[in-house]
Amino acid sequence: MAPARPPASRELQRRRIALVTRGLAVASVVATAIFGIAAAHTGKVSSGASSGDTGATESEDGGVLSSDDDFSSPGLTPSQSAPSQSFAPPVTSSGGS
Amino acid sequence: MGAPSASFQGIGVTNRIVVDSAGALGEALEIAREEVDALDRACSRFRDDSELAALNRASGSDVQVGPLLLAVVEAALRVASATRGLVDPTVGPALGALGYDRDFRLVAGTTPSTLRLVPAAGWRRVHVDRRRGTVRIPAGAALDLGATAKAFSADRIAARVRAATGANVLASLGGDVAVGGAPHGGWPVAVTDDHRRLSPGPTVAIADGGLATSSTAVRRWRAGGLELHHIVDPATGRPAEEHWRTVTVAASTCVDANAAATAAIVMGAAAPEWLEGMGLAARLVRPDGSVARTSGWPAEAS
Repeated sequence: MAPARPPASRELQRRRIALVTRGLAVASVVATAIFGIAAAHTGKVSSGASSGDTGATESEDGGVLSSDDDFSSPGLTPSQSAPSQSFAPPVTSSGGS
Repeated sequence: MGAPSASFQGIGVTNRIVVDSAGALGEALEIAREEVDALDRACSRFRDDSELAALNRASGSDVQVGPLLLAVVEAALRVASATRGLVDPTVGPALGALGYDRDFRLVAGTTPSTLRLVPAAGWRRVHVDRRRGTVRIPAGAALDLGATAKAFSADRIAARVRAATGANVLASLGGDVAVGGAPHGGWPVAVTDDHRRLSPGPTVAIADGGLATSSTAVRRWRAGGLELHHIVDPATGRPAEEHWRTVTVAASTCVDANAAATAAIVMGAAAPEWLEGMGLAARLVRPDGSVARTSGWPAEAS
């Protein structure tokens, strides 16, 4: 018949289990933090690149201009100064050329 | 004494460069010739060896194009959007069906007995991938960049000459005018239906941007027993109703001026209000010769 485990050993085992549990919890927090930092770091690189010619501005400046959805332009714009009447010898603006 | 200027033929029209410094004329002319030649090789609908011809032959597929054609296609799509599709680069087959499928000097000598109407495929179906440098047009469609390409080139010439020489410059490609700086009082420009036959019209001075005229009075031919002109309504494939014979617009660029003038012809009666709403200075001539103007256009001496 196996001898009964003394109470002191059971207490030690509980402490070991609690320690492992806390260790796992800490490891989980650290891992989450590491992944978070990595994700944030990745985002920053992408964001920084977007100020140049890639990244978030691709769809506007560097990517596909898909003209069958929401492509629109700001319209036609007037000249800074309106034309004025002139009597000087001209060049010609004409149609159908 | 007039400002130093030089003219040359190219892309089927007379092109002219004017500067306010005699020393700048040689370089200005060289730049203008280079740009017109590049435009012809990239964007001509009438050259089998042009980039545009290759793109049209490969409709339905992504096609690698050079930076100039890519830029002009993008400009044409912007124009189509800004004019609500009244100026649509996919009118190529519509013009071809009407008989305008080659240099106009050859078209004018023919009188096809039949007439087909082909509405434009629609600019919204054109895809541009700027990063890859590709354009895809719908299968069976074809681009005609004539309305925009010439004005685009005029803007480029004016900007390049101004940057290279420091001189004030006016570039005119068949009457589509772009300005890069101006002498005191602006550049005087005569407005008329046909730049080869100076018909009565006002002279206005412009100091910046561009000025362009669209007209149904020239580039006319007969087909199917009807007299046709080259400004096509993309929605129908038919030459636009002639509510206006000629429309001239001043704008921030020659591209915008050309777009507004052509769209106004297609739009018809509502055009003055549309142009006024955008603050564009414009002069519109009815078939009977009577004139309407937006508020930005100067009164004409009687």
